[in-house]
Amino acid sequence: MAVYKRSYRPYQGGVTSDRRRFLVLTRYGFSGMFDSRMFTAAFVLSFVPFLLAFALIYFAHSAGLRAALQIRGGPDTAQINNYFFLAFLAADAWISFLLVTWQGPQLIASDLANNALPLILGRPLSRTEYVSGKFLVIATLLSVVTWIPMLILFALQAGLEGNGWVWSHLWLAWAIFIASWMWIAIVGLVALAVSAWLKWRVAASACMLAFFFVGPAFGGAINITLGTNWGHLFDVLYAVKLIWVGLFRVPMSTAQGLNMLGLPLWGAWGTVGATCGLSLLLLNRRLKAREVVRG
Amino acid sequence: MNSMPAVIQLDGLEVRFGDRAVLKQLKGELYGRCIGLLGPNGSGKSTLLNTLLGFYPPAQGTARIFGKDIGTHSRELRALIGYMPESDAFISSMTGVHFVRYMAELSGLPSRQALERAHEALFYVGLGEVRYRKVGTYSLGMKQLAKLAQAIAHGPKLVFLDEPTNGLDPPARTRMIQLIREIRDSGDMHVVISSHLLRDIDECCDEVIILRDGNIAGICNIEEERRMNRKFLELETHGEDNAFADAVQQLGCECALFGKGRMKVVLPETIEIRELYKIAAQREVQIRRMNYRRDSLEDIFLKAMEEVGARNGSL
Repeated sequence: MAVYKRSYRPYQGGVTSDRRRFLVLTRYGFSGMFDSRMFTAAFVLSFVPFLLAFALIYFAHSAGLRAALQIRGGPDTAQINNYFFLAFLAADAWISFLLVTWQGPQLIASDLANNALPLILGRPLSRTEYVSGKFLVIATLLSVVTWIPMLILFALQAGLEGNGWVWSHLWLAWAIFIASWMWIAIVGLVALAVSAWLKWRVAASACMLAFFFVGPAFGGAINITLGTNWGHLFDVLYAVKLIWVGLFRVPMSTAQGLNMLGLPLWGAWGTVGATCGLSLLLLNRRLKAREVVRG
Repeated sequence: MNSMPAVIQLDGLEVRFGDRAVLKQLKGELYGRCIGLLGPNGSGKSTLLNTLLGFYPPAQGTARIFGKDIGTHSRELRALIGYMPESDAFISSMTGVHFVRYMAELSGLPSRQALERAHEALFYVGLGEVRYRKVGTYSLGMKQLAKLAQAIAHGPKLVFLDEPTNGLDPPARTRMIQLIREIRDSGDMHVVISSHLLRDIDECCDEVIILRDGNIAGICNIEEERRMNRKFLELETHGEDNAFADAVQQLGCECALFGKGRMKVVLPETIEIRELYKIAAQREVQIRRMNYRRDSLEDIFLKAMEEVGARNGSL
């Protein structure tokens, strides 16, 4: 029927799969995110470290290229190791954090600003599916920036190195995957929780930054005042770094030099778990309160 | 007994917010094509709609929509329902068509069909020309229409309209009422309108449930009431009204005089109005005004309110 004909007709077509319907939220979340040209540009720029690392790995394995360019220094194959990937992860983590701080806060806030949440949850969607759909926006975005390029680099290194390097370093691939997903979970859930509680984007972005930087200050104050190391429990970044150091098998002596032995590993996992749990709790409380508009 | 399942069946439904019962043991069955949910502010109308949508769990009892329990078939029922909330509800950064398409896709329509239906729904409610404008820039009346469009775009079997004429100016209100009546008359979906405005309900609904303080003050089939009161007449006469009234009563009608020639007459089914004119001519009485009079919804509403008030001892 031509759309300009003003009459109502019932819908008799098919419907999409019930289980995958929450992906509609993800798709629309993505399209909204990339409406901003500035953000799209920043996203493209976030691949610069990947391209540099790619070039470095290739350069390290190409004696001919080094000779042609008459460069004596630069990386050699021995330097493409767990430290190299850890440093790359740290750089990617900061880039991904900035991307999420930019766009994450509006994911839920835009639904809450004008009470669209009752319209969304009045449809066959649960709160869990709603949060999953929104989280998947951040998870996909950060995956493209973190573990996917890192595993490509890992594959490149394995391909160029040969001689069974991949089998002796398979744990590194797992470390990349787990460390990245832990970071994605923390940043994603905190961003969604902030997005649910703060409508104003600037305030939400500031709150995101404060969460990750006020914690270390508070933890440090506790450590100094009480003469203990347990203040690190409030420092999410410290906990994350501690877990990464463990996952990437950084030797004890190096970790000690980096002041990374102030907290037991279980304490670090506890901080990460508590951060994710608290974010989910705050999200649930806020969404439950706002799924119905009370007059 | 109706063989079709009730559109809405309330089975001892009770909803509590903390210790306070907001809906109290509601019982009743509603079969109308357009059902009015009437009651003063704070009587529990929106709470009932939200409970039927599954937002509030019943503390006791349950309700069924098309025979399906709201507790056990909540998800299935949400796919059959369109919902237009009372307050502003939109995503301001989206265009009208983008917004309605998004909502239709969330209801389960494939992307292409959702886009087509979004265009159709926006044209249908009269927003065709502004469908590419951002919803945030719409006027209040346009936002109400956009809410209606998103409620019907996916082709629901039942649509909940919570105070649909809220804040509309008279022409916009007339347009909204006309749309609701068109939707009702299309025969494809049932409509539930929650309102505290009697006129809205009177103009659209064939059945009404009246709430007061979380209780059902009455359920009334307006169409039936209208039929029953078909032969209820108000007359104004000039001349010997007592003699005329006696003659009318001898004819078999009930008649009550109110002075100055005003009287009310209830005609039995077998008696036609022309009989009254004959008697008037014979008695040389002039009939200067004759109106069909039915209990208006206002009468029904006030009567229900008084009955509940009397039961509660508050009036």
